Amino acid sequence: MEQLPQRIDWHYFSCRVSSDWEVTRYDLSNQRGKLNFSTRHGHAGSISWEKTSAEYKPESMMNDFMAKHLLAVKEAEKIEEAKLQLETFEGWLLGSWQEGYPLQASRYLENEGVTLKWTFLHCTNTELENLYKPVIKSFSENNGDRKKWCLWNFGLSLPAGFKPKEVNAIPASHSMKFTGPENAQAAINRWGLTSEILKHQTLEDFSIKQYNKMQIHISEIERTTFNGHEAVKLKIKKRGEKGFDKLIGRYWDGDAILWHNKELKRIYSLRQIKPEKTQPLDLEDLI
Amino acid sequence: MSSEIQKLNMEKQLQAVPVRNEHLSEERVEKGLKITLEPTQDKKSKQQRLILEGLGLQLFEQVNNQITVDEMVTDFQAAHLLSFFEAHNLVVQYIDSLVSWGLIGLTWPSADEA
Repeated sequence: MEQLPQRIDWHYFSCRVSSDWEVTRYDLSNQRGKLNFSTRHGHAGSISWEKTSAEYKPESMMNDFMAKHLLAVKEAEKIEEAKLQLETFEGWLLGSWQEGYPLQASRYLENEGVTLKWTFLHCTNTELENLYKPVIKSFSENNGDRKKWCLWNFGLSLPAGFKPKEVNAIPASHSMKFTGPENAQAAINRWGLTSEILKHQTLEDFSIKQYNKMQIHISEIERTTFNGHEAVKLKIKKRGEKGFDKLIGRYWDGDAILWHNKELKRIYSLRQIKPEKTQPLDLEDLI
Repeated sequence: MSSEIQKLNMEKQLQAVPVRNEHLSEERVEKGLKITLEPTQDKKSKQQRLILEGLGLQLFEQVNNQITVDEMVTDFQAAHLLSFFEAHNLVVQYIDSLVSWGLIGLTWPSADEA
């Protein structure tokens, strides 16, 4: 079976999905949340995570969901007859009813105390075999000393203590910001429409403008290359953000690298800002 | 004229065919394309001029009264290697602006033509 092209890494899981699936909803919490995927034709699927106890019974959760779905599609009269067929597949419990109705797949992650659940709102036998099972099968746990974080085909890997703080997804401008020990920050940005961005300005000009917008001071900027791409390296400073320190806190030092991937027509940036005593990350090691 | 395209569902947006305002003249200038909108019969209407450049100009030049928004999105996505939703959002925003400036209108093919 050919590997699905798009990598997704978030809190507890890594998986692969079709290239036309785009994340259209995301949650930052590690307690409970969901990623929704859509294509131009509508909802493609969703994966949710929730801290649960080991005694958690996914069957009742799946039956509840099916009943809610039948209510939502105004087929409440079918709730009584909708008995889920259960099967196990690659460590997942699959629950489905009839062709054209939702498929759910649930899995309990013992080490994390987390239940994962895939939901696909419309499932036929063909879709199950060709579309959904490859997605479900591609799962691996996202744990260890380093965690991967990847949505919309861009991301990074960070030491396990870092958590997502802010994610922004506007067309041609995506960003993900994480906080780690002592509020140290790491962030990745990606911009599109590079032919327009770089039409009348250099990569240096662009990086200065972007970091000014983020209220980040640049103390040094140097032209370089990164993985074969034109790049700029920056030494940066920003007021530390801890409680109300955003306005009066002392400046934290950091560094950043911004590069232009001409093949992908994207500009990326990675940066970190941290308190003095915190161990710095090796930015080039995060990708 | 204000565009309603942002309020429509995606399927309807993609089916739309932008059509050029017939009452405008175009002139190439260094910065881009200078467009003069002739006043309509409405007495309050005045001649308006604007210069299109960059992505707005690229999209305007694609409008030939036949191309659909769907095709414009596909072309834009391919040209800039964007995702479908990125391209869709940007193209619809630009089309919305072109409509609000009175440069184009939107039509939908009848069921027989579709």
